[in-house]
Amino acid sequence: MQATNAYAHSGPLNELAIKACVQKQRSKACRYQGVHNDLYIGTCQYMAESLLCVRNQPIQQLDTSNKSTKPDHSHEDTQR
Amino acid sequence: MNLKHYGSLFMAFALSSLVLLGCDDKTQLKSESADISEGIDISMFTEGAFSQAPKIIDCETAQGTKTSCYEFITTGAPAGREPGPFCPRTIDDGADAGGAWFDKSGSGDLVDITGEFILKLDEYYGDEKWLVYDADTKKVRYTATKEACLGAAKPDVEAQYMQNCIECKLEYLDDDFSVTYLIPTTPIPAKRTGRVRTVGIALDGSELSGPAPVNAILGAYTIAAFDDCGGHINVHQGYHYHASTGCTDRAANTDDGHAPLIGYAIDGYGIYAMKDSQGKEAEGLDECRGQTDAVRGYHYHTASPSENLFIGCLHGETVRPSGGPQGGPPPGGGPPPNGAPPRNGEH
Repeated sequence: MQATNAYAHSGPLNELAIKACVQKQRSKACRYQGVHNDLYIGTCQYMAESLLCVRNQPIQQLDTSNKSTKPDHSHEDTQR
Repeated sequence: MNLKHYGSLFMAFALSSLVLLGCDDKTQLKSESADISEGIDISMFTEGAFSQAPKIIDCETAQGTKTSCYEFITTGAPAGREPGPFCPRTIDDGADAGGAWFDKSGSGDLVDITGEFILKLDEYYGDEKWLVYDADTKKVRYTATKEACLGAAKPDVEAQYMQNCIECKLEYLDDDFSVTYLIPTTPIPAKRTGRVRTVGIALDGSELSGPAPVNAILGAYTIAAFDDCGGHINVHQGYHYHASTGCTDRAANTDDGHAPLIGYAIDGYGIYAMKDSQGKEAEGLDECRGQTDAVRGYHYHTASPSENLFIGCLHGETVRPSGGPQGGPPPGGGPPPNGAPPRNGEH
């Protein structure tokens, strides 16, 4: 078995980045909120055979006041 | 870390190559632009990065462009230093005895693999099944032999090597082990960005690899330990990086505070560290995590060490060497054609 198979259901490390690109196509915009109330914004790109959200903006620290409206691990869809 | 660089050696090589190869357009060592130093500058590589002097050969990209390429051949070992340490030996060991691993948050710096980290893996990952040490002896379970390395440092970890900290040694590589890179001497922008498998080559000659298969690794209750430089060893790729932690950084010969160069992508564009001299991350990156400026032309910036990737895609055309597709096996797994070793998915 190659990593390409294993990575298709990747574990906790890239899980959020992968979920952010579910049902999206390559190069589409994506964003997800990390575990430290931080926001990752990028585009969906293939890594091996898996599509995941590759950040192309600096990590943004969310205002803690947003926390009540944006739960951790959210996966916001913003098509480009 | 004290890294020695080629400097004058490669300048001499470059000059002699120009004499030997002539000055036709196909054998220019660098971009002809007087202002933009886009593409590979071999003087930036560490002394000993290659097992043979780099050559310039005719090549054809996967997109069908006939061009010239650098042929880099390496031994699979990082130049200028010994890899490791990787796994601590007891649960009492401190950070000096072990290496590093991805932060579970998927961002930021790597975390130290201390004895305590091994001890508390169950807590760290929220899974009580983790037990990578012997509770009686306090010894960490690690792959201490070549056989164990072979059985563990692959996506389908053999059952007997689960619950192990995985480390391999360079001495496990075949005697004739080598890695060959064919990289366009002058980067060629692709009409469509390419998918990343093998990312490129670090300035110490080691491979910059695609993402580590973390699900397979953690799913087998193993840690494929990196050293503090963000790399580890398997018998197919030799020593290779999954994260950039500064060990191959080389400051550019510019005074603009730009991030240091860490290596080159397989399309020939430079890969720079994530942050500049002020600690600021580059802005305005494209989807490949690249951008263009007047000094470096098009170039990439790495993601943070725990993001498990360097760049997002390939901006330029890449070369498909004989023996298999560039940077990895065919989609869906299985060995690449012609018996070439798998280049993707190994730890």
